[in-house]
Amino acid sequence: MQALLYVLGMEKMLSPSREVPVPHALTTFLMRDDESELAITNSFVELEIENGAGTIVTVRRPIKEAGIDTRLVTVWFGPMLTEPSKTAASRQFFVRDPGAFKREDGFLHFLEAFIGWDMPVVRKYEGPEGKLPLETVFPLFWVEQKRGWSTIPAAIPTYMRVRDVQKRAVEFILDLDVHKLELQRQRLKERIEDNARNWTSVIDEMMRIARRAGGTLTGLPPRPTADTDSLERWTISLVQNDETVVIETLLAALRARVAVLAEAKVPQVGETADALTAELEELGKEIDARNQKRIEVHKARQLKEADIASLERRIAQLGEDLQKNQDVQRLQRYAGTAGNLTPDQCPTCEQSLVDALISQEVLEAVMPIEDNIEYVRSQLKMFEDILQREQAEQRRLEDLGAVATTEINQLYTRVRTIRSDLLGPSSAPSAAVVEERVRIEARIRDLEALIASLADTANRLHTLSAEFAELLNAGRLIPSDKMTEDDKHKLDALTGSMRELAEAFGFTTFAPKDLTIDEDSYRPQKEGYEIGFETSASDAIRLKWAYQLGLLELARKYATNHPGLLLLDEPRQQSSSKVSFGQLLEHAAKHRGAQQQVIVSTSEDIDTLSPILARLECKRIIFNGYVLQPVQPQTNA
Amino acid sequence: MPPESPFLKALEGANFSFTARPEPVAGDLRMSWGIAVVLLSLFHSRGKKASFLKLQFLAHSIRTEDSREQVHAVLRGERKTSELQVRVEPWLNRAVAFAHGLKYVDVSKGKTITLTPLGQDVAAAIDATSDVLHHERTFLTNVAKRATENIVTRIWRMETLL
Repeated sequence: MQALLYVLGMEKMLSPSREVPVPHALTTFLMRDDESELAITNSFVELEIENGAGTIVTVRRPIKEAGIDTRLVTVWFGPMLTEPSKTAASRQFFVRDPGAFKREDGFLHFLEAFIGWDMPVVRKYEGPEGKLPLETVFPLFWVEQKRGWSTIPAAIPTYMRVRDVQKRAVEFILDLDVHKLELQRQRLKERIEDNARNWTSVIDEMMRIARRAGGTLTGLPPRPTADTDSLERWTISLVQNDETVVIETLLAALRARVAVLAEAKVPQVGETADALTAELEELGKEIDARNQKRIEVHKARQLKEADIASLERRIAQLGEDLQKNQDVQRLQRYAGTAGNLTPDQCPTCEQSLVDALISQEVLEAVMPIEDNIEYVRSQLKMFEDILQREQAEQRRLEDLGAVATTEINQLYTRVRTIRSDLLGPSSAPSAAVVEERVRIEARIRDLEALIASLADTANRLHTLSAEFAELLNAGRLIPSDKMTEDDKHKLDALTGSMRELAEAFGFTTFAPKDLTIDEDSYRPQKEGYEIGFETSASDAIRLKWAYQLGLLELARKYATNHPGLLLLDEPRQQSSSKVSFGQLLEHAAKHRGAQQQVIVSTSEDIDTLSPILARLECKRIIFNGYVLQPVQPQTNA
Repeated sequence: MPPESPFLKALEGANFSFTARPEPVAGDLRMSWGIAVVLLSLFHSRGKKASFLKLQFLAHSIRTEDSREQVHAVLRGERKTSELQVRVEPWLNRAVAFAHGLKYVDVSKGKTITLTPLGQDVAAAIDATSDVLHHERTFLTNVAKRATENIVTRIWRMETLL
């Protein structure tokens, strides 16, 4: 039976080791019926299999053949064992090496397609998602003699790093929608998170653009929303003469001023000399005031910087203290296993102690370590919040400083123009008036460009918002129940079959009608407690028969991924009584003719078997002596 | 808080009463932390023993990231010993006293502290628990053996190391 697993490349179902999992009779020496030994010179396995579509292939894998690697599997696309004279196309595949399941030339890849399966994508403990390996599903219908009987429902290998591998395997065989739903939910969650990340980055970018232009952006929803109206309500405000002005108001004022300047003719310097002198004086005062302001801002910024540095120091210290407190908690918890590190009484004089290495008289009561950790955490949280606020204030001050500098520069430019006007001939046109108009026009252009560039970026929010609405919709479409109706029917049917079969097999630990199947682990349970081998060992075996035959029965009534094959190698484990063994065989025989096949191998006494088999309609192959026999040398008759 | 704040108004004329609460204690002043550090310091020192002077040096320098980095820099020769200010930590004496009471260490002549076999077991168990005292352990594995009694004395006296 192990050779059958071997030829199908399923040895990893048994263990992760790289050994050939077949008995010595196939690798080193063979016992003949007369108990003499014969060394093995050449051995291989050939198996003919037929799938649901009626395609027959013959698979051959060497065990011991000079010059041929055991990782090589040959497949003939025809029934080469039943009709040896036939010829058929053949192809070679590899097994056991990485890629045997993923790559075109891998035999497991071929086997998956041959059975007609499409293995689901599952999450792994590390690395990317991958397909559910065939080795994790086979144990649900292929009970191998050595380890196969040790667990219910099946000895599914766990070393393949698949998360919740038992669940995934049963879900696949039953073709439940649970896992699909779970995957859908997970993917949806990831997409929503992605959407939120993109949203934040767009908002951040817009904030940056606005800040670079000396403005602040308000009114945008900080988190994704499906409400597109709220996306239109953003405004930029700029600081103008110490006041915050909305950009549209500012633009209107500037446009009005340009219109006035454009209407009026450019005056000569002589006409405006007095006004220019007065303006010059005014400008001087204004520059002083602005400089004063800039110095104040600068001082405030220096103070903030010192504050921030001290806050950061404080946070780092708190972080260290938190770490130490957590260490203390762990050390205390583990005291008692290795040794006590926090005595509550002095080991010498038996006086009671408080948990601190400072003078005991100083302290009234010491906070328990759990509270202390919470206390440090809340402090940490508070200081982190303060830091954030201070950093925001710092940025605001930086903006104010930058605005003051630009304003001072503009004032100086104006001063220079007026001065050159005043020094020039009095009949020349006033450059100061022209300069003002050019300056204002340039400012209008800058502001318009700012609005346009922000609107461009804001358009991306519309796309994200549409995507968000779509994701919310998709979320509503996924049923909130873990299982679909169909899933529940299947599970109920499986529970029913399992109860009936358990009863028929003589399960006695408790009433079979109390058996249920856990919706999370799909293991049999009673009143919420999983049943394993803590029941009597023979009852556990009966339960396993019932579960696995139940899976096969289910496949007749519902669409599942069960291959319709059940292989039980030595099912009479733990000396389960003859009655129940007979029952097992009877129930197994019922699957005949329903496009299903149950293969049972046993070394049971022929006298016991014969009366049972006589009642059944089945194909029996009886080996009198060892199953493996040397190949007779061909004689040319 | 601005003077017109409603919160401030509400506080005016209110009666206050105070309830005593347990006091928080810094993590490095907790018994288990101090005793564990003493045990680990001895565990990583040559012969599982050290003088009070060395324990004071290790206990002071192990406490913060900065002080740990300073000691590394001095041992690497990048800083002068005079830049390292070693303080005497009162908690250390208490930690040693408790460890002694718990029979984890022996104190001979009031100078040298040695781990007892029981102390070695406890220290080894702490050392094997990877999720506690991570930074402290990294520091001690690097420094405890290199900082011999001789070097510690020189650091204490601010003499040059090389």
